[in-house]
Amino acid sequence: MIQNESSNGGPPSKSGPSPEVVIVLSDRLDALERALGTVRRRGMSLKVFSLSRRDDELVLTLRGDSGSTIPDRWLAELGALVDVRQVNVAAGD
Amino acid sequence: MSAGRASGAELLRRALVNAGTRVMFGHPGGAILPFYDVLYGAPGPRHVLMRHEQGAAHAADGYARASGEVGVCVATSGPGAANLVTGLATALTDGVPMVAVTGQVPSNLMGTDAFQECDTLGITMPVTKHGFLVRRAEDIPGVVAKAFEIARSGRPGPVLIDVPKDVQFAEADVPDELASQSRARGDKAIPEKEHFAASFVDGKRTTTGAAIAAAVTRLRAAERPVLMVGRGVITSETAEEVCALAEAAKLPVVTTLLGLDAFPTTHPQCVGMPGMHGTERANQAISESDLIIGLGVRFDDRVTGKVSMFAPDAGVIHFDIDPRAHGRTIRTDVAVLGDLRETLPPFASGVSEGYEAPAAWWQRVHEWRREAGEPAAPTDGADSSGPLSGRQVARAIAEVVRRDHAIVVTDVGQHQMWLAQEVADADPCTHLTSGGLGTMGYALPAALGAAIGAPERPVWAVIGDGGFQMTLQELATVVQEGVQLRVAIVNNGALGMVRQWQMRIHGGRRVASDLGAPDFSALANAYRIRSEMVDQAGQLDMALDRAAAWPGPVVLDLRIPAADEVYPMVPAGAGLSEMWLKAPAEKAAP
Repeated sequence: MIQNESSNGGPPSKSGPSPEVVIVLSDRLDALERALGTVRRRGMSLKVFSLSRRDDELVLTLRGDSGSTIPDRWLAELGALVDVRQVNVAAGD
Repeated sequence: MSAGRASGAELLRRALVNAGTRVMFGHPGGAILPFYDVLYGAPGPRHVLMRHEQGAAHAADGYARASGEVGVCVATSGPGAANLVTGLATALTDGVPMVAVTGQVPSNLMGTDAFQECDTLGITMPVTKHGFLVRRAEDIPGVVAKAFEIARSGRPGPVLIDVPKDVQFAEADVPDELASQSRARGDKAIPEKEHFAASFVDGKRTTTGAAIAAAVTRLRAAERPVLMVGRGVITSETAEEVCALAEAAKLPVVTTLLGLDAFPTTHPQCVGMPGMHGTERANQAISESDLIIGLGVRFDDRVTGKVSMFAPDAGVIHFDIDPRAHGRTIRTDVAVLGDLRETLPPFASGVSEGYEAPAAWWQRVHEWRREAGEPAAPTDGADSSGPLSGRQVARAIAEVVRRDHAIVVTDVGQHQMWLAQEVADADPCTHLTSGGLGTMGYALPAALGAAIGAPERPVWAVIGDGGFQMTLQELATVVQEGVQLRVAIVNNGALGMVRQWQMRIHGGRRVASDLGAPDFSALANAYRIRSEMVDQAGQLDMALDRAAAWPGPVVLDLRIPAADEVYPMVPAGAGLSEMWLKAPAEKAAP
């Protein structure tokens, strides 16, 4: 589930001082590339924090700079990708 | 259980047939030859040999839009696959269901810069809904079934299947599904995902039912509502339900470029197309509205103009199946996520219980109609004598298309906008154009695909001389396939819309917009196609009638002045209320 409060129509949602996005996706290189491609195309400043395997899934954790925002539109775009199974947004450390 | 063994190529062919593929548009090459080999003597699918892979993608697109089926195109590896990119992007932007099959170099050569090798999956990733690289022949049936499911489901779009040559050669068991021609199972490699997008009201996530209830409440309180209809209505096959809703609630209706065939344009409640070259009434209605209800629209920049000036006093209700579309460009108050087939009926039943748009609002809309004069469409350049004009070409073709219940496929530029302003009461799936990506060169191959996809209807391709020269090689395909296509080249010897912008927005400095067209009649004759040149208004109707009646392909070279321009026009970056109704004299070139 996306856990952040949606703010469609308003300013981009803020996820605390250092937002963290955890994306669970199919264990496929092209799935990873496709998900990361959405970050590149939007020119977002997120960085890869970790990448791990969980059973037959990849768990990709991205972190933003302190105070950066996570656009709802990007989360919706992730949700439209076939291989993305779950997205969690939370404030980081 | 299996029903014998077959090569990956044969499994691919059978899986395509099993998914409902009757026709595919392609161009062979080394890495896809095993697949072409199994087509020899096979009962299907029918293969249409295009002259360029871009044409194959556009033809599959036109086939899909006209027939409602998934369009299929085929290309070889490397340059063949790369040439599909424009067509895939066109289909993705407009939400057209397609499956593209590409050959790939053998698995052991991948990554070695082999002959005709490229990273097809990587190149096409941003322009497809999904992509598969098939590693084992036994995966092919499931991948094909899944690709069609993805292409059709949600917001439709293109899906690519890349098949290395050795996988096409390799043998695998034939699953019972293919032997019995029943539907193949989905690919087990992609399990069902959690659907985590949601509807929302005032920024708060909620159920779709609650969002619909909120939409009903807000419409019932609205004094100046406008219904905006887009291609999603075509895709969801809800045009009749939308019309019933509009009539029950007496809502003014605007139709986007891709929704022109979703609502009858001569309906008394239709106020026309909004946006950059929309009608004055549509843009005024939006600008003064207090509630916009968008049905299957994208609210793209050509429709909204300057976002901060778009419907400044209005709330926005947006019905769409694509969660990415909600709030993407404009503030959205109520987002209803879902298929219009499911979300429209409860909304319509809630609204139609006694609600009608206030008479004062209709009085205001009618005033604009009177101010604009009847007919509502612009009348510039519509004289019936003298040199031919772009406006007259569009009006006359629109009339023939309406009379013959034909499909019209337009390219991109001035002629596209003239036709959009003139097209009248098109049936769903009969006005085809590259609305989102704006792909020049789209119309000819897409019209070919449409003619094959909907053989019961006449098809007109209307193209500028610039766009025609981008994919004109497909005339050879038209002849080879015996397609009775009418091609109208709106020939002004220039890149007309570029020229118009240079004249009106860039100080009259024309750079690289004058083409100096060739003799299109001679060119058509070289392909053994009947052709006619028209440059006088009085000759046009007869020429169109002759073309409509000719039992074979026809090319009309319709010569209009390069100085013809399309109005109304909202300059890029301006608001809808700032539209030019005619050429601003002060901005004309010296």
